[in-house]
Amino acid sequence: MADSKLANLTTVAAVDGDEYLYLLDDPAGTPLDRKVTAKVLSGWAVIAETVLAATATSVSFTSIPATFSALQVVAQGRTDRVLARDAILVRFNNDSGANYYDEQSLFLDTAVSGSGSAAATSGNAGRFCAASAPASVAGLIVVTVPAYTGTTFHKTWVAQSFDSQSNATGGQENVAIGGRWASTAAITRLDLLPSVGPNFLAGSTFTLYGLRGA
Amino acid sequence: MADIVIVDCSAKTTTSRPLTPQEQTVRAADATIGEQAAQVEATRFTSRQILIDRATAALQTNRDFTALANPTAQALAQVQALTRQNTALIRILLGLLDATD
Repeated sequence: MADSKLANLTTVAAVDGDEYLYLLDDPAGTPLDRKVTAKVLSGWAVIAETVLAATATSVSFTSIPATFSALQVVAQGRTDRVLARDAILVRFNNDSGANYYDEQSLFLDTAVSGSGSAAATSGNAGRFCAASAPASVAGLIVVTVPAYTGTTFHKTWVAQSFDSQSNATGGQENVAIGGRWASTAAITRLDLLPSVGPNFLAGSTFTLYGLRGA
Repeated sequence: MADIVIVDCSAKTTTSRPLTPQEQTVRAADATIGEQAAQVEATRFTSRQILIDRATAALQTNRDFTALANPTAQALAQVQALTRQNTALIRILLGLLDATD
């Protein structure tokens, strides 16, 4: 151990938090060898990311590792729907059954409205800009799914999105969503797709993060 | 319709492929539902804006009425106007924005 080069050690692809990491404490003063558990170094870690090189009808994160305590998708993009905005849907484990329940609040300038859905075949994740939105403008979506590996309760998610439908005051839309997927299965796959689209535009970015630590 | 992009988080690979016929059927159903939901939402936004515009105009109507020294002749019209205003407020309060009557 002591005479091994760091570069010669075996790389670990994932950690569960109980592993020890080596630290050199106070390197500029009185250096001391110390250890720290990996769970201490908690925070959001990138699991996977894709930037679309061409249009795509959906983006699917598969084989999601079960080593995190929460998932978060951050996506920025547009769809080719012939409108200024398009709803973005989320599915878990490729389930297109009537198992999604959610409520969304939409803020468009001073207008506020809400709508809910029950036993839907997909969940709402927010809005992207679409074809008639100003050029070079993309929508932003953040979806957070805690306890995605749990098998006791149904899975829940919260999402927030922003899309700029025009350059007018009344064209800035903010959406807040809470939802439930009526399944106790651990999530291993997460899909995002345009409600109408049918496609995400090239350049749209999708990043899946995992939260380290309990 | 373009391909589906598949990001394998364990293998760290990104691939794409055309949708299967079954997936295409699901996507077509998604689009139909999405169009219907968008139509309902558009109607609600339009109705809300119409009701707000009417409420704004009603402020002046109410001011004019209360400024009258002897409004006997205008009372019937004002009661009708107030009833319409109340209906609009009730629609907004209850979220019944499928219509504006």
